[in-house]
Amino acid sequence: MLLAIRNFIQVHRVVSSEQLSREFRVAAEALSPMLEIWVNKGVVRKANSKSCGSSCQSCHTKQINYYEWI
Amino acid sequence: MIKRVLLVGNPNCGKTTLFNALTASRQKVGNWPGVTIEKKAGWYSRSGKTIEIIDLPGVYSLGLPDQVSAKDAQITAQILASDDIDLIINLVDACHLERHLYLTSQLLELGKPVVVALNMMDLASQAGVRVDAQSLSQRLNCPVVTLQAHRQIGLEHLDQHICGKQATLPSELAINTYLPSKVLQYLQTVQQNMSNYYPKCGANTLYYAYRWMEQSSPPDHSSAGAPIHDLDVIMADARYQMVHSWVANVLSKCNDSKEQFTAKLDRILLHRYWGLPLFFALMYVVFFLAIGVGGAVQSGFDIVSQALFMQAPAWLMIQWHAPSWLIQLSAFGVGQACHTLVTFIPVLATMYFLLAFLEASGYMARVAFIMDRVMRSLGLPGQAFVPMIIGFGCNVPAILAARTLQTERERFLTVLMNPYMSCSARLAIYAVFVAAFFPHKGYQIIFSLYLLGIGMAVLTGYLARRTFLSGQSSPLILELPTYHCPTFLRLSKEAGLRLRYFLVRAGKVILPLCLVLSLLSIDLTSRYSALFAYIGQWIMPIFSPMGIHADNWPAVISLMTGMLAKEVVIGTLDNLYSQMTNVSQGWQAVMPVDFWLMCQQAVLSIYEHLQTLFGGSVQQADGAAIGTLPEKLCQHFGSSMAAYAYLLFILLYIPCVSTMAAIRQEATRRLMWFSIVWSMGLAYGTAVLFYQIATWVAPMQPMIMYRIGGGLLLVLVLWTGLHLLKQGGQRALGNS
Repeated sequence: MLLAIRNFIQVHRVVSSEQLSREFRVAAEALSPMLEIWVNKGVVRKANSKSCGSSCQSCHTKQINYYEWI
Repeated sequence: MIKRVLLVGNPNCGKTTLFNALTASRQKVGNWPGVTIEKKAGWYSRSGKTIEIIDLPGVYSLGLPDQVSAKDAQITAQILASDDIDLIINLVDACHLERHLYLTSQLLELGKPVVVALNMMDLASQAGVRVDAQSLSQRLNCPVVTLQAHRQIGLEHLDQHICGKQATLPSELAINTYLPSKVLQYLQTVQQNMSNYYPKCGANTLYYAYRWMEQSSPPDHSSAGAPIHDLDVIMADARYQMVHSWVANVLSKCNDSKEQFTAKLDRILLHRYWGLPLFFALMYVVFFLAIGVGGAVQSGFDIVSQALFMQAPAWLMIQWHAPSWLIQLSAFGVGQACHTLVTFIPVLATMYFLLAFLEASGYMARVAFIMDRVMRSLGLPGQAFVPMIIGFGCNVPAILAARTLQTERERFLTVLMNPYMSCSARLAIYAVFVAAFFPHKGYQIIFSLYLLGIGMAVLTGYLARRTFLSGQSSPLILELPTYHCPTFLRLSKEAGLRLRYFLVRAGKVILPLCLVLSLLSIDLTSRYSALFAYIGQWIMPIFSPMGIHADNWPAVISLMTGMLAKEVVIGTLDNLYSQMTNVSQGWQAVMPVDFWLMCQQAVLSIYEHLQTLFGGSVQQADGAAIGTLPEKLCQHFGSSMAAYAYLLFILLYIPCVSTMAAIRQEATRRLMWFSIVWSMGLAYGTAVLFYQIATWVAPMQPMIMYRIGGGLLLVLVLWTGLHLLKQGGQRALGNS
């Protein structure tokens, strides 16, 4: 599971936790300790989403975590 | 006989709530992790027995007591390592089963009796999660009870285990089946030497061997054999796999099938090579429906609205012997503006509805993702496309959205590229022109214009990147939502809202402009109206290489008014053409309006267009009804090639005033001027080149334009494909 997640991020370069959650059918909160392992090992980097600042509501207001291959 | 019971679990899973419920004490509880930071003991009395209950600080996983750095985790690890424990109650949050079972799997290796208490069952069922406790019990080889600790529901089941005689020991877990043989051999060696490595381990060497191998910093014990790279990851991976297999079998979610469907569909729609062609195919279908079906309805709207807003007021005014300025103002000012706006409705409404479907279904977010791959292969930021692709609406918010980009270079690139994406205003112009010149395959023409716009945006970005905006682009960060089927009502509401926004915005520009134009043209012998014709004819030689003839000066004036807002191009054209016609025919030519006949004509026109669209026989020679704008366009532009060249110019020439202001605000004044000059040059060059080539080759073969277009598209696809392959190859070589 951990290794498969690492490979998935390597292929897609940047993935959101929800994308991983869907791909591996694992709840997002169960994924976070696994991703933490790779973050601590310096394999991936965590980034947060930003809103575009407009009021058109097209951006999600909820905070989404992204993981980027280093 | 059970005398001492431990409450163990992840932080914030309700241990202290259960502790208070069992011991009737009032320890502080809170809905956040880390409320308990030291062990607390209480007494549980039932049927003459008194049992000590110990509440431990929450931990996510277990380690060797000496190796754990956090104080609370150290307390838990030390107490769990002691021998005088009769029962461990492992509290598990049913809402977060997978995360919590990781600790459970480690607890079961302790070799002590464990009861798993599934807490927060009510919240889990509210969240649409169902846990099969019996099946979980079989897989864990230990009793599992369900609880709602805060409501004290299910405590009686737990009581049976606490007050039971002797709890049974769990049998060994199947984690070894997930470990590679090399690691299994290493595990055996470590287990045999465990008392040397960790003297406090006692008899349960397997538990400590697992913990020893799970340490993130590899211990240096050469006696265990050659060190295994990333041993801690392999160990954790095996445990996560085991836990995942349990959860997959015992947990069911209401929205699980939706998630699976999304993952499957993404494998097709986000395919590395098929993703982009599939996007183009889908957009082709969208244009077919919007322009084909919407355009068919538009022909009917055009007939009825012209009769209602222009002919009827003009006829009535003549009957009432109204002065000519009033006829001009009502019929060619207000009436013309209303007519122009009404004709936009069918195509835009259909387009907005279909785009709303693509957005709400979750596909549009993926388009940005697909485009990002192409863009990055060219060294351009994928973010530049996100707002326009998602919105396909207006260039102004797209340019404002450039603020989210991290570097100034990427912001400038986005600002430069966005004006070439076809906005709603341009779609409205295309729709009227294709109704006139390409009544049967209009959607293909508009599709080609959209593709060309994307191509020009990429070309502009690419050239800028190769010259004055060089550098690397950061990757696209975009959330991909789950696919779902939106309701018809929701899509209609969304399309309605956008349509209203467009009509109000366009109306604010079109109405005053039509009024001004009609006022200035009250007397065509006046110098104001002659001025239009003079200006138009004076600039005409510049535009004649792209097919605008001398008598078509309104087309040039429309380009000038279109700089204010592209919505007004059609309004201006219609107004000026109508006035030209009325001057030649005179007011007396305005006939009384038979609405019933007009409605019949409109329905017939819609029917004929639809019949043509779906391959039926064409009863009418051409789609343009007499007196409508398409007919006037055909009359003044002459050929479809001149019309297409004009559309190319409209697509690419100077962005509207609001877009210019947005560029100046988000970038610099210099970039705004660059954008204006570059787009003007690009528009003129493309339109002239197209018209000249088309007039040269068209007499030989009418279908050659399609072939040239198709050939160019093929070259573009092949070139992109080669670029992707090259990049993939370089990456593969880099990795190896």
